[in-house]
Amino acid sequence: MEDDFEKLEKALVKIEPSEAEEETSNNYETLYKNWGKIEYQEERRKKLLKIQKSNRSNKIDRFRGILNFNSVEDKEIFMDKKVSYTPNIYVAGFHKTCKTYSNILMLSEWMIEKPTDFSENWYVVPCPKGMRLLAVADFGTTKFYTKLGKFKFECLTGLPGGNPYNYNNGKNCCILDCIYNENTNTVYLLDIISWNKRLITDGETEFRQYWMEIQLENFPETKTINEKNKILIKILPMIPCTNHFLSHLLSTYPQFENNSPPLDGLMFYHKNACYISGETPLVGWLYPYMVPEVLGKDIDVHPKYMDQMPDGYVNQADFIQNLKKNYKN
Amino acid sequence: MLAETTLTLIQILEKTISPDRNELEAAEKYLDHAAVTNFTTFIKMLSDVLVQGGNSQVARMAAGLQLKNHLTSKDPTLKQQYQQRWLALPEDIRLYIKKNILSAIGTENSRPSSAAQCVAYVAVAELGEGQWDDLISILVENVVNAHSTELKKEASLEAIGYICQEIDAEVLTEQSNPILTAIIHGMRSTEPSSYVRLAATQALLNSLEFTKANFDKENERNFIMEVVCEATQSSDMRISVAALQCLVKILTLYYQYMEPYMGQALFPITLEAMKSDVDEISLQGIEFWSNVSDEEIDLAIEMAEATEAGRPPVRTSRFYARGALQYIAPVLMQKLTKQDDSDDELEWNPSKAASVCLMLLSNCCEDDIVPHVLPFIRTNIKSENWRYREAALMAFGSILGGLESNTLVPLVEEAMPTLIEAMYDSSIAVRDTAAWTFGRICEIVPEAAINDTYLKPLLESLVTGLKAEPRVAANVCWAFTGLAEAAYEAADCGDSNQPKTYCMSSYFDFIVERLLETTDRQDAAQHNLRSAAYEALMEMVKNSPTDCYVTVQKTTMVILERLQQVLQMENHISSQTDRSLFNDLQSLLCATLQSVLRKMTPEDAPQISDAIMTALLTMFAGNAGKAGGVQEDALMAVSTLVEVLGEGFLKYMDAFKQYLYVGLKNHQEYQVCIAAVGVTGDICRALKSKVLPYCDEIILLLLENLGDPSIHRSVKPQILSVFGDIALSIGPDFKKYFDVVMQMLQQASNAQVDRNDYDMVEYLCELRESVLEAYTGIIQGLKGAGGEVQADVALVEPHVGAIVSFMTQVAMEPERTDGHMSVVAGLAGDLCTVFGQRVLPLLETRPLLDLLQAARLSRTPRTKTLANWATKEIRKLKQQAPLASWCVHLPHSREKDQN
Repeated sequence: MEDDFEKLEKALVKIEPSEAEEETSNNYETLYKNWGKIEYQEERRKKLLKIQKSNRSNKIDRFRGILNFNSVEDKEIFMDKKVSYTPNIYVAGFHKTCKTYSNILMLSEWMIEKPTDFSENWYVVPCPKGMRLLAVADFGTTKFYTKLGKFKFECLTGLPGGNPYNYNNGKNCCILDCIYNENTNTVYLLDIISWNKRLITDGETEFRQYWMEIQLENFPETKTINEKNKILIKILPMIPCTNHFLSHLLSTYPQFENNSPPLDGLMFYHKNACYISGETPLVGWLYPYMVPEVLGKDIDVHPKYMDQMPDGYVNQADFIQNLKKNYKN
Repeated sequence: MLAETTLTLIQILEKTISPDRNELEAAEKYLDHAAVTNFTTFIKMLSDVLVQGGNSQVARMAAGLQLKNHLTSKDPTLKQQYQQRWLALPEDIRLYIKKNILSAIGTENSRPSSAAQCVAYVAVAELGEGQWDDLISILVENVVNAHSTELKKEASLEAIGYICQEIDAEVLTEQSNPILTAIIHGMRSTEPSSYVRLAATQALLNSLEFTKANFDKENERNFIMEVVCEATQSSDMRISVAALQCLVKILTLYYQYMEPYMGQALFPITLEAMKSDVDEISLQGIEFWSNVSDEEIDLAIEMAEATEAGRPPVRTSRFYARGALQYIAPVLMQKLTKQDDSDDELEWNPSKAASVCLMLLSNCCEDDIVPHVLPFIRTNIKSENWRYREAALMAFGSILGGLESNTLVPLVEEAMPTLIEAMYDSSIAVRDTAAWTFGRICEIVPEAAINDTYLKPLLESLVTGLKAEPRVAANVCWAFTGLAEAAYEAADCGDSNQPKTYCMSSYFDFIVERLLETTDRQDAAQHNLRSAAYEALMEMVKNSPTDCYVTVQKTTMVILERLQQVLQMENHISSQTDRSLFNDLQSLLCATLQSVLRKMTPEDAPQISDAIMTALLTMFAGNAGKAGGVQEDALMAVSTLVEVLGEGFLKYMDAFKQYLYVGLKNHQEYQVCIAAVGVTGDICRALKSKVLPYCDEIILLLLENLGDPSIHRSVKPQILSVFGDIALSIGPDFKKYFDVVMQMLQQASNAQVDRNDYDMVEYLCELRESVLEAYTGIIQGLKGAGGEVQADVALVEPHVGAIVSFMTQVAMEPERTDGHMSVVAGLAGDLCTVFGQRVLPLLETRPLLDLLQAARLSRTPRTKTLANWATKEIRKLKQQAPLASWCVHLPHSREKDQN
């Protein structure tokens, strides 16, 4: 219960006055070294407007027959004296985002019908049983948070920033979306949120997957347990949703070696989904035994999966309904 | 039934913190559903759950949180909607809920109080409407009543704090006395609870803006200052930090009252704070002196302006920074040596704050700072310890800005060899700061950097630095940016407008190559290196003399190739590419294209324009063209191309126009719209009468923009000016648009804004200048180029009275700018040449004659020339026999009057 309070308090603290104060109190950050010199586009805009204005004046003056001043630029004697205090809109990775990690993960909705563009635009990820966590590798350690932002545990990992050896003075860090299975001491990566201070959330599903794969290849320590990596890190496969691939996936049992961990369910990603916080219709969820009912009988599902159907299961709609009802009581 | 529902609600609320995702989702869905289906009952029940002490803490807090989330939002539009929704509830419901949440104050065991938030956000909705007028006195009573519990006091102060933070200052001004009483009561050193004290101190921080009346009274001011100063000494760090924040804010708001407190209290308190090992406290101490310096720089400028205008200044500086310099400078330098090496280097900390504070102190105290800093620099610049070397360099770079050139030049020249050496230091931090210092030197004392003795070794060290770690390389790029400009400005132009050669000519090609390489570095995304390198490249090209032209040509081809490559990349792997990186790159390439195009000779430009235009059109058509930033930069690149090609741009018009129109229709992304409006003006100037076939559509789109109330205001002045550009290019053909455009200009002349809103006043100034520019363009266009006045200009005659009265109005404005003077003077001259003596009585009025007189003394050459010209035109008319001119009719015999 104590933890719960803490979490609630965190949520509340977010709207405390201190937050607004923090933003305004560091008035002077843009004056540090070259930190303030980043709004190039704004600068270019101003320069061009100035040029256009001066061209306009020149043209008018030609009409007037006054030609003795073709380059007219304000000397701006005072400009250098005055220090400009534009607010710092610099966002390098996540160092300025909220310190609590609640509401970061992208969450699925129930997939209640087969999308019309299912076979062209969707991918499926087989999810092992485990806890959905946010992994934050930074400052030479890796911390794991629940989707509510509650701190779960911490350990060294071979991810960039995740142990003191590859922390590289703060240049390395990453934030990943994963499922943790305790029995196998494995973190299964679902998605990537930030990599070395760059937010990847604007990338679409395929890009993020691709990025995660190629980047992770540079960090082979994550594949074994060693001094720098105390937990196995694996990327979950992402498979196109054609009947062929789906049938192949679901007729394979067990899904993971020795059925450890067992398969929990299927997460579906739309190809063009960017990574957003919270629930999105572009990510869907199904238990394997719901597949024939929702996605069609032409997909082969191994009987072992169908056996997992709970007692008294009628259909998906009823199941969801019951689930809701159970929460109310 | 109701009791049962309440029970369910409590269970659901408890589930909102469930670790089980499904439970949580279900709970949230239930709550959302309840809010949608029966809002009134729902929030009423939430207030019941909140107030009943028997419920679990989790349920109560969650109820409060839910309720609060239905009262306010971070999104301003939603927030307003929520407030309206609240106010629309039946009064008995509101009374019921208010009673509940107010009773809940002080009954929660958890911090911060969620009841306080509910009370505050209801208050924010109601107080502005003149409702709930006894709330403040209830909250105040809660705080000052000796029988109130600690929790009750704390929660009430929290509520007061939130209200003060959220609400418009005017709403609370009348109640500032009781509010302040409660706050000060809670802040006293005798207050036993540190929670209460902290809540009170934070509330004070939020209330400082509207307690001016209390600060105006000496005894009240004394009391407030005493309590705040005492609070800074609290052993509870949070209280101490909050109180220091109050001092920082008080100094800015009430500088003129600080005299009696400075020596005895503020100075010793903040000096000690600066020294503190607790970063939060130290940062506030430094912030205080940064603020003092900043304020006193403003006061010095105010003084200079007042002296120039021959009037006494409204406020005067007390030179606290100067006085404190000898004590605070050593502390700041000490802090400089506390760099964080392992921590995130983008994290703000006392060491960084100290460097900025030194910079501001130097700007404020000028040469006086030297004796306090120079010994430290001399002793430590070669220290064994990198922290001291870096701190010494940082101190050196920071103080450059304020020094007089007599002090500065010898100092920098002396330091050059050491600085160059520092570029090869073993510590990355030292190299980083050395590179930054060169950037500062180029900006502030360029003559020291481009000095014959040091230029070569300096360039060598910088080029080496381009290969260093991204943060070092990025600072090197900034140094090149400064160097390019400095070298160019120092070059001898002779008779032409561009020098033939300059001190960097022999290194130019090499440097540009290295910069191009830098933009391509694998790690260029870090520390903005890629952007900094492109920026440096643009500056190098922009500031290049004639003998570097071959490199400019070469660079143009490289940029064009890169642009084509990037565009191809999009075709192949658009969904796999990181969109933002890709867009940034396109923007940078467009920008670089602009800078090389401006350097192109008129002979070369047409040879590559096909390739450039093809690339730009591909970009508009592609996905990236839909991103505002890219579209804007591409439009700006078109602007430059139009400018360089002149009439030669005509051949691209049919292909380009659709994208121009798309840009003009982009009401949402106003920066794109402005860029499109800008290109329109450029096209008019370049194509002249050949733009006519496109004018119907363009004018229509521009009018649509003006008529859209939701469009960002900054688009409007640009549009008005472009009307002038169109008239100027199509001349007599403008007649068909004349009436509607004049009507628009008339409307814009009548615009009024809230004079207390600085942004709006600035906007008004811009709008007026644009109206006057448009009048100018229209009159010139209808009159026609050349000496002969065309008959069409007679159209304007019925409007002359309105135009002159607008000119007069602008002339009398206190916010009159140099730009206004120049355009009014020009227009006055135009009216004389076109309409002759009939306008004399209108123009020869006090405000306009005063304006002309002031404009003749302007520092801007063009304003001065225009004012002289207009004055001469007026004089010419006056010398003509008045009778003769009465017989002259417009416009046929106008030219007779001219000589």
